[in-house]
Amino acid sequence: MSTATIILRTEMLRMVRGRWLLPLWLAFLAVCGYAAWEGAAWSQQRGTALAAIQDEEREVHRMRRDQIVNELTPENKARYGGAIYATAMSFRATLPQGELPVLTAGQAEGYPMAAKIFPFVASNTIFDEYMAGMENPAVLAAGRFDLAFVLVWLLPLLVLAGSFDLWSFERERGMEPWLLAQPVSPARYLLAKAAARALLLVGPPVLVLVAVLRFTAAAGPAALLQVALLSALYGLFWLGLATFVNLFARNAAQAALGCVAGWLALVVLAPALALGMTDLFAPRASPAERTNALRAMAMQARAEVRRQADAAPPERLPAPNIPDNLRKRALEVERGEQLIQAAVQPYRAQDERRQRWMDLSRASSPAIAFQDALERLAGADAGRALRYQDQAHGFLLGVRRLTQRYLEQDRLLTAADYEHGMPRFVYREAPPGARLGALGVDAGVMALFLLALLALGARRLRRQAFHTE
Amino acid sequence: MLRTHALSKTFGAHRALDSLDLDIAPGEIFCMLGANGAGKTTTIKLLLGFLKPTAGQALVDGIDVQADPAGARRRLLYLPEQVALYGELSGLENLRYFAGLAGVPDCTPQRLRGWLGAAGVPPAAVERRAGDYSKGMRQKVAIALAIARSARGLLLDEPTSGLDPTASAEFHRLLLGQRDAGAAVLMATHDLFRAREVATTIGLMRDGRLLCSFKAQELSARELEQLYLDEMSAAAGV
Amino acid sequence: MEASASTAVLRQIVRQQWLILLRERRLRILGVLVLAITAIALVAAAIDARRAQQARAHDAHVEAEVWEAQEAANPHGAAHFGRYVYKPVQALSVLDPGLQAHLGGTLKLEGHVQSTSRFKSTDGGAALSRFGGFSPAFSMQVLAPLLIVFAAFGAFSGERARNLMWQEIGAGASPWQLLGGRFLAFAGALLGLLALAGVLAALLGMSAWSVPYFGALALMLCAYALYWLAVLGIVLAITAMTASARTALLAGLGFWVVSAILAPMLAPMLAERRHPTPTATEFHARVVDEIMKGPDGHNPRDARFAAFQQATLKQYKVSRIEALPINYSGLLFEYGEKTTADIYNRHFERLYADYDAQAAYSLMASVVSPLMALRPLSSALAQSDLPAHRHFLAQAERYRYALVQTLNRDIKFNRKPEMREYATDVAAVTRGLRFEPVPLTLAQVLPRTIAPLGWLLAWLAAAVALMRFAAWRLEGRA
Repeated sequence: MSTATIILRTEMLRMVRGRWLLPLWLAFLAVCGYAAWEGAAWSQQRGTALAAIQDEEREVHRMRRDQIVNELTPENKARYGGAIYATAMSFRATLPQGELPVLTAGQAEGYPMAAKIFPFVASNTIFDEYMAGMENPAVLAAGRFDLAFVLVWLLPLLVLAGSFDLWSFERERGMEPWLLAQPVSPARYLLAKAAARALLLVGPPVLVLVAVLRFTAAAGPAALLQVALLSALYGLFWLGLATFVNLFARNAAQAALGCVAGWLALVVLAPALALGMTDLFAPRASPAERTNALRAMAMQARAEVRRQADAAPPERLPAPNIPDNLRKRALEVERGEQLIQAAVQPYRAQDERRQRWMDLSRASSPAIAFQDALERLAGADAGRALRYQDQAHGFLLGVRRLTQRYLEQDRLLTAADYEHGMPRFVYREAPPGARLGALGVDAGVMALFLLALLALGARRLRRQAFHTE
Repeated sequence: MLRTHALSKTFGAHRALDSLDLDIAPGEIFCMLGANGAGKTTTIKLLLGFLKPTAGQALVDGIDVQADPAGARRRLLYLPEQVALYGELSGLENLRYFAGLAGVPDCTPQRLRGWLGAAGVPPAAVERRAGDYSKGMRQKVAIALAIARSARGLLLDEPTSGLDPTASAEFHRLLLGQRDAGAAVLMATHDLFRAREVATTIGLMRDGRLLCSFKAQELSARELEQLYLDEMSAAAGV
Repeated sequence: MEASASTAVLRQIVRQQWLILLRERRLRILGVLVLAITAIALVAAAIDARRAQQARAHDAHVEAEVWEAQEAANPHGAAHFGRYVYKPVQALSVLDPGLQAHLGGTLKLEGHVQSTSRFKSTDGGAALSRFGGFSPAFSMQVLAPLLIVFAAFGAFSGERARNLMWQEIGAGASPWQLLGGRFLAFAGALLGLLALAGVLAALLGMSAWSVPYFGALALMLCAYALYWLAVLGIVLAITAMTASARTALLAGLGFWVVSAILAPMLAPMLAERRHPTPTATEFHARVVDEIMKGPDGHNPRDARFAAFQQATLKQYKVSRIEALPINYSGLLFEYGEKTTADIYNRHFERLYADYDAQAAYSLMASVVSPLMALRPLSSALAQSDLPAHRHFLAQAERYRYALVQTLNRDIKFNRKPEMREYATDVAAVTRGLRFEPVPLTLAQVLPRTIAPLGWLLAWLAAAVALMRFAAWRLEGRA
């Protein structure tokens, strides 16, 4: 048996006999299970809300179809404009949940999940109704106790709690010189001990996580594998940190301090600093300022159309099916949209810059990278939300083009339109390659941090790692 | 077996070891006597390769310790002042671990028990958790490792410090057994009288220098004590 | 004489501990670290607050210009176009931003609808946002206790400290004097740090200086002092009861993880489960459902208006709508607005009652974490909590109602039957209405601070009791 195997086996035996391993596993299982349950509840609530919004659209269409079939006559059709004029079409565009919503709410609560789309609604207001939430802000401020929190914040503590004394235990008890006097290199000791800790501190939590996800979410094997690999990589990073700290710490208390300081630095301080820098160099465009600018544009558009109305042609006879004032309104909306797009451009550019900064911030800490990866796996990342908003805008423009055609053709909506002919919004996911690429970047950041620790540790070992002087 | 040529070690301005020449042959016990800070532990650490010498050379069975520390350690057994074992493991499991690290083949339970028995560990204690062991018992496990490894060189740093007279006597009996088996032993100790009993050669260390060395039987216990006190007093300027 | 000898011993111990605190590099570094982090966070928060205040003033000015730019407009259309109001930044929210990031500082006021505030700073984020920023409150509520654990865990545990302790007991000091002395020494250092933080906060909030400001600040600092001292007492008791430094550190860290990380996260969630609130969709659906059951004012021919119509005709002693001396649509808008406002108010009251129940439930978590008492107290005094926000919303709603009804009344009294379309200078019509929100007074805030303060005092008492117990255990072994 090789010395590495002997060390690995003995280390695992010690860990099992230490009597702290099983409580740690059970504690992790408990928090994982609870977090998954919370995530499932949130996901179900979200799903119910999305279903209700889609039902709303179906109900409006059904009601209008019934009005056309049962109530509409040539004499009273003016009273049923909402049902027969294309300008009153009503749609809902919803962002479906991702494959693993149980994993985390992510950014889902910071972006709209649906849009109310009418041909004449200003494009900057289609999400307004679905931006406001009713959740207690105290609950939002506390943060969601979801699997992402357990993995990003608590898993490191579990790994560190079980490995902070990787070598400082021996050092504190005076075993270090005796061990080093054996014909085994310090690096071999550390790697074999770290391997044992990895098998018992990273392996089982990852298995627990996969089992919990399998039980609570209908996720495919590919998604589960991605979660497992990323979680394992993150866990290994923290094990690497503990090992690195043990190259410096003279006793277990110092090692514990060093590990907690590392956790604090990478999970709390580095992200706070990154956010501060982002706020400083790429602040968010003021939504209040943008709103005022767009409202001013709306007034401008209205004033322009009013001026043009003075030169408007006389009323047509016989009157068209769709009243001309709606055509006038359509012009106002079109002009307003042009002004809105021009006005919104600088704000959009500023927000895109901020998004780029926030994306880059992943490189400042493995915790941020891992959180980003989990949000992408859950389908709750900012990129997906923004992609949805673009598609919803595109759908609105499509609806407007359809409305314009109907206005030009003076065509009224029919029951058949409501039964078969209404456009439907379907969200198109990003190509699989794009998502894998992003996950690859996240994994790369974690791997780089781990490699950096290994490189620094190797340098330390080469110089003088152990306190035998 | 254990040799040093002008071995020196300086820590900043402090000269911890000054040009030490030693030659300990197999079957010989060299006892280093001296006050705290005399350079005894430094010598041992240099022979183990824990420290880099400022000058000179340390050789173990002809192997330059700096050039091949692992090779040197394969031939050595080190016994620190405080032998620590893994408390969660039994004496037998600890021995299996350390013997395995040292590359001792065929560490079957029977052989392990045999080594532990030869070192004086009672059979009933073999399966007990080492966390319950006394200092003397832990020392015996270390001796059992020496027996298992058939180490050619033994480096002992104050091995009887804190042991009661019975345990101390038993330890020295085992040590003589190792000597008789052909091991070269370097022992750092404060215990003048025990040193005289077991040593082949005694060396007096002070301020990093080997003041003198002589065959143990050349002096009586009383003469040895007087010589030691005179040398230490001279150091203190008394 | 015995008492004075005992006091002399205590003084000696405190003095000794002070010397150690000042000379031990690790403790000096920790103290400077806490202060530096808090100071940086304070300065950054003050700059942010000033920027936000300037931005809101600018936004309010531009919004008023947009409202004026409407010129002649249909008043009811203007009511739907709406106005925006901006929540003022409170001075002490620099120290504790509380729930501000999740509340939003902008509110749209429009006809028929009561909105929640918009443009939360948590909107539109990315993965980084999940970690939150770094406020002075975070530094003092979460980081400082961790650093107390780091500083104090080795006071009595570990071989060296333990041996020293037995030596001191052997020399004549009692375990309780040792514990008390260390507690007083550490407390002095902590209170000094807190005072410095308080002075810095006050300097940064100079423009808001007033008696209530200093009263609130003093109360906040007292609360933080109680919190830090309670944590200190717990950690010292742990270290006195534990010989192993490693075990003491792990126990201290365990206490910190539970009280500063887990409890503040779990308690609000459990409170939400106990007193669930509707989602935005559900809330909206319930309100709309109730509104749809009643008349909304947009369709005079709505059959549900029959009774109202009859009462109106009777009131004005006419037999036809056309004969009314006022515009009937305007009257309907006015009536509809009152009805929907009443409906919204009722639903919001129920929602806020649930929020209050959740808050009370969360406060019960103070039994496992003193931070659960400190947080609501601190944010109440900083006026960055939900009740303060609701105070703003209530004022905004009064203004909204007055604004919309003013516009509706303009239609009622000024739109003549012969007018096909009606437009008026809506800015002139509403010029007499001004929105000038005032914050809660200290007297209004104080009742909310009593229960949390009680919890903090209880925690300090429990910490002292635990120290007493630890000292008693050591007595038995001395």
